[in-house]
Amino acid sequence: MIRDAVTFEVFRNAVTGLADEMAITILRTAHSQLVASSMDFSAALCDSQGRIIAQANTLPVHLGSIPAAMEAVFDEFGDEIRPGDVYLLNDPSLGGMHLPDIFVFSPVFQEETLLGFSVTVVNHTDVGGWAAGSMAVQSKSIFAEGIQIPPLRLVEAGVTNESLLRLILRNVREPELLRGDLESQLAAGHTGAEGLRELAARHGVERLNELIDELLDYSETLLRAALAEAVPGTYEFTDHIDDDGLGSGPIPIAVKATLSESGIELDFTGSSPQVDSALNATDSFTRSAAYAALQGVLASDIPANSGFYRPFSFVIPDASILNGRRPSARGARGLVGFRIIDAVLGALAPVFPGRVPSAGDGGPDGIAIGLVGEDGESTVLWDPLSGAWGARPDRDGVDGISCLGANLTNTPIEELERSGHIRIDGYGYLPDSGGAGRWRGGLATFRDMTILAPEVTVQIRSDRRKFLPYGLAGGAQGSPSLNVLNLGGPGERLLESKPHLAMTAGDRHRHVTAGGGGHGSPFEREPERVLEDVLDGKVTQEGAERDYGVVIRDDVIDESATAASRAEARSSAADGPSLLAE
Amino acid sequence: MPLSRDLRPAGWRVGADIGGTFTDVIALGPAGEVVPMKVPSTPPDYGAGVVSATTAVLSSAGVRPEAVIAMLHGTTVATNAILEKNGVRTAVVTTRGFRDVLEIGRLRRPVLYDLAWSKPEPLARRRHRYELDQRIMTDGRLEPPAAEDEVRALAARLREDEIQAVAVCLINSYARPDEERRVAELLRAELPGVYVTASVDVSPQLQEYERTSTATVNAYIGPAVHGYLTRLEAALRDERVSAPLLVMQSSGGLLDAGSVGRRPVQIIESGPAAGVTAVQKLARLVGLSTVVAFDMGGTTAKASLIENGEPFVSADYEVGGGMNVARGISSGAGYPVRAPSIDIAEVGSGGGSIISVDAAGALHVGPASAGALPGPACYGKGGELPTLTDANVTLGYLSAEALAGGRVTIHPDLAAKALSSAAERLGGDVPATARGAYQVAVSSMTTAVKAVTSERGRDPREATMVAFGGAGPLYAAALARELGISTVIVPVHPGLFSSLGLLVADTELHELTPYRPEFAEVSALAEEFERLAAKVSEELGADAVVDRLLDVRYRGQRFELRIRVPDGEFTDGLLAEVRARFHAEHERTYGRAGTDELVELVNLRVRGRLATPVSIADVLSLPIAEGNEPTTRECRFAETVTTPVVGRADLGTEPVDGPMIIEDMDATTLVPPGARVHRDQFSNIVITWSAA
Repeated sequence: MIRDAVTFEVFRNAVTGLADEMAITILRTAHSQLVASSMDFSAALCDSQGRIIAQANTLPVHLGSIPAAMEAVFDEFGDEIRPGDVYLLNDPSLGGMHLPDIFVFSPVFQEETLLGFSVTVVNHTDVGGWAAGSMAVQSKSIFAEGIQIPPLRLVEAGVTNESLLRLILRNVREPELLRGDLESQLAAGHTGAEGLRELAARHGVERLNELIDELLDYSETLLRAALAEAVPGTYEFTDHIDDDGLGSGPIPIAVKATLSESGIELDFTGSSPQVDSALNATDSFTRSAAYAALQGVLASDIPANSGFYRPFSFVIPDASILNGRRPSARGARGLVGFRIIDAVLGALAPVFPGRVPSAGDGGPDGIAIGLVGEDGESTVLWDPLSGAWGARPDRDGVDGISCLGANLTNTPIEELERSGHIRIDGYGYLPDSGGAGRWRGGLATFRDMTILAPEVTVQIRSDRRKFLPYGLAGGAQGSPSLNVLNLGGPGERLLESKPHLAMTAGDRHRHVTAGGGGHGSPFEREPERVLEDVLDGKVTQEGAERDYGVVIRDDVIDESATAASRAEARSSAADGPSLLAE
Repeated sequence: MPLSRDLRPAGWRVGADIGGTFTDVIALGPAGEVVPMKVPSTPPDYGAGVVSATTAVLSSAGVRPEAVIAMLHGTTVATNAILEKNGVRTAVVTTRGFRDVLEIGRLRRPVLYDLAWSKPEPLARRRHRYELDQRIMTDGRLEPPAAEDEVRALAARLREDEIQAVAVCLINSYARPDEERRVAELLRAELPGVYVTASVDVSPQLQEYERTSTATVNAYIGPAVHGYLTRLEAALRDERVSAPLLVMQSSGGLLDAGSVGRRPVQIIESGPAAGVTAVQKLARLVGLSTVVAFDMGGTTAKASLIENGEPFVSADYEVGGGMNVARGISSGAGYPVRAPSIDIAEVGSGGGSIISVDAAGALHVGPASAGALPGPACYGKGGELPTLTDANVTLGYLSAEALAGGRVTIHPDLAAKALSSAAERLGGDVPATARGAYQVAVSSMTTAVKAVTSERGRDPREATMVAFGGAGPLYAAALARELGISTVIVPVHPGLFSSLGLLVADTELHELTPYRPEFAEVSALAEEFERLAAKVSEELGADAVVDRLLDVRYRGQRFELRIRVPDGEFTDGLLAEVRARFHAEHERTYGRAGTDELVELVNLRVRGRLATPVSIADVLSLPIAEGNEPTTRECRFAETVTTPVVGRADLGTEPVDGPMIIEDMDATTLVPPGARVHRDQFSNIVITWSAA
């Protein structure tokens, strides 16, 4: 219960602003492209029990993992958490997710009283291992993926453990980037600590803790109100990852959502066992991804704190791809998170038909281009590519957008080119790639590059080649993701979705992201909307006729031909590929 | 350029500032006479209001139109074209393979979990984005150059498609500006009457999306802004006001209407910049080293920081995306623009902000606003939702009879009625709810101030606050208390302060060259600076003061800090000094500094400034109008207190204890209990808090 609405609102403003301030500190001071431009990081403020008080507007799939990471810190340091300390970890079996994500915790004290923690997670450019970028799908063991850091004290009573820092830096490519980004995490920790101390000074520790309780209860109250609309029952959905990058697949991600008065239970029994490659998630990451989906459907504006998590329970099988056992590899587990989101949304679609969109591109595809210079130093160019959102129940999908689970930017073409190692030859939408529907799915994007450096290694993580983004309510699937070497030239070759290969100067590569699924029957889409898409080249004239039954001649709708074409399409009926056709 | 002629001190200067609701005009005479005028804005033809108010001001002052020597203008015409989507049919011309760069953007969204979110519609539709078979390499080589035939054929296509404005943005054009200009020139020659922008002329920097977006915004609003300024000049001439028209830029300086017509993207934040400029001049006059400018009106509250007489200028921002406080982390809501702009943080708290209680019993203020219509419930124009203005009337802070010099009649009963359901939901009485809303508004405004101070390593407690705008003086003292700021200044004409800023602003011109490898040779760097400086001096005249600036960052960073290059000949030593200044500024802003090896120069900038002959002191030292008879009102603070209500002229020069209310014609200043207040020699109201 909110005891005093004014104090509460003032407090809520303050903590939300504080979490954002932490994120801004990282953004402004980080040194790596992955952090500063792609913004692959997160920040949150926790209380003395490790509960999340507030999160910054950063990366959804990081944020829900913080409670488990906090737990690992408590397990390790328990009663030895002292003023001036800073802890860090990246070990997936001890609170981490995958090795590049380094968690940093700054405990905040008012004199001797622990007030809470400022916590940041940054996806570092490289943490060592066999492959540049440390996220290769083909890794078969965590020992191949880079340096593992259990919960350790990086700073003790204000003094940095330089030996530890040197050890870490010696084990990574581009140590200066890691150092700079780690320092930006420390700076953000400082920002959060100062703010939390101010709040304690203002309200007193006891009242501060009450306000935190009120804030967590507040989120829970709003969430339960949103849940009250739902029809109790059990809803199942299975989506798939095409393969594990080592030739095995498909990999099912199955979820059974049980809605009851006490909340929602998500049971992932039936999902794939852990795999040989680096797609294995952690229990914490699985929850994190599921929370992102739940928040999207239920409550985009409810403050995301630990109170939000209360109505949800999980069954996550041990030794599954959702919760791998040491020493399974983890580097590319992000993909599993994105598919968890697709599966949870699919399960919730019948419960919240007016809110759940069709599937989008299935997560950012990652292209990492590694080079070793004449001086023996390694360089990694990152080009994370996102495509589309699926169509919504009342509007089209979004063209050119990062998926719900991420919020990553692309890398400026002119910056990639300035490196001198590659040239980008094109970047744009592909027509007819959005799943047809009453509402059209977002379009696929292509990115063409030519290698200029004598030799590079290219590592790509993509998916949705075989199991396409689903459509809902009769909408069609989106188009597949592709990797093509030397398109239209000698040596043209369709690469697998998760290749790791050497390329040499003159090689050309096209990456295509998946298109989003459509929503509703394409034959019910207003012909005018189809015409607009044709005029914009987002749907071709042939595509309009084939997928929507809309006949367009010389930029004008042929009304009678369209009526005839649609009547025929409806009578042949039920041949739509949609997974959830009504 | 005849600019210096415009600035002769003899004669009258007129400042006209257009807002959403009102157009403010202030005339300043050669002997320091000040004549203000407030008229309703006249959309869609905002110029009509400017012209009628200008003639009204002149006639009430008994001045011939010919006596006006400068028309100084702050306008929202550029912003409105974007917000109302009424720009012209705009095309983008780019390199083969890249027509979707504008629409794909950076893939980010400003909200994390909202599945119903959609991207802003691109200002040039896909069907109007065209490609050329040409390519500029990263080192400037052309492989191949654009073929004239192809460009001419394209021009025919643009004509056929009835394109009215074109943004030319070729990949890597920053490395070969002349190639892009050549294409733009060819199109201009082929398409008379069509507005053509070459991206390098508005944003010569690397990063294709941001440059394309800037150029597209420029082209999209170009005809509207150019047409507006041309019509305004003509209409003023018809009224025999033929003085040159200067327009406030987002960066805080004035520029002649002709130049603005070519680069309208520079005036998007024209209105807010004028207010900050006035504060900047006031800060210099009074001798304040660190100032928080706080501007609150009907829908938003804005904060900016002025240090040592200079505002912070940011290199880019988003237009049309709504509130702008969590800079950087919540991008994607609007259209990115790379043009120097005073760094202003904004929150959705204004007099019209709506007070609400949600399902879980939490009290919210804004961001929804009752706007000009229906407006606050107490205006009696049909508004039923409670607003901050209703709260302020209920609390006794605002007069229960009339506001804005009698132009608005107040119905306190309607205010109380509107607040009653919120009060019921919270289980309190109406005054307590009103007071709560006031406090919540103050707390949300601290976010804006922190965004420009503590987030930049500046301690707000070391600043003085200068408050203006219709609602600013009502909240300033409480906001200052919350932030630990000990002194608040409320200048004369707080409601007209932005237009006053126009009268005292300097003329400014910015030029920029992105860093190129050849600048590693310090002589090449020096040469480029000289070229930029010469360009600026040529436009502004020999009297202009030219400052050299460098945008500097550490390798890999996304944000630069702007470092002023010390005066003197450009040498390695001077560059070392720049690096040292950068390290120091970085340390100050972010608490740490890197090493010399990591330092990266990003942009060379030159700012030319032609000082205005007018001092803000001329305006501030005038005798002030007598107000109404002093009276009292029952005001609710922590408890209800009988509070003296006086006019500014009645305020003494010796500090007295609050509470007190000071009523100007255009704003009300609230001095809470515990604060002290007096009037200084510039007629400023000065509120002080003793250290907490």
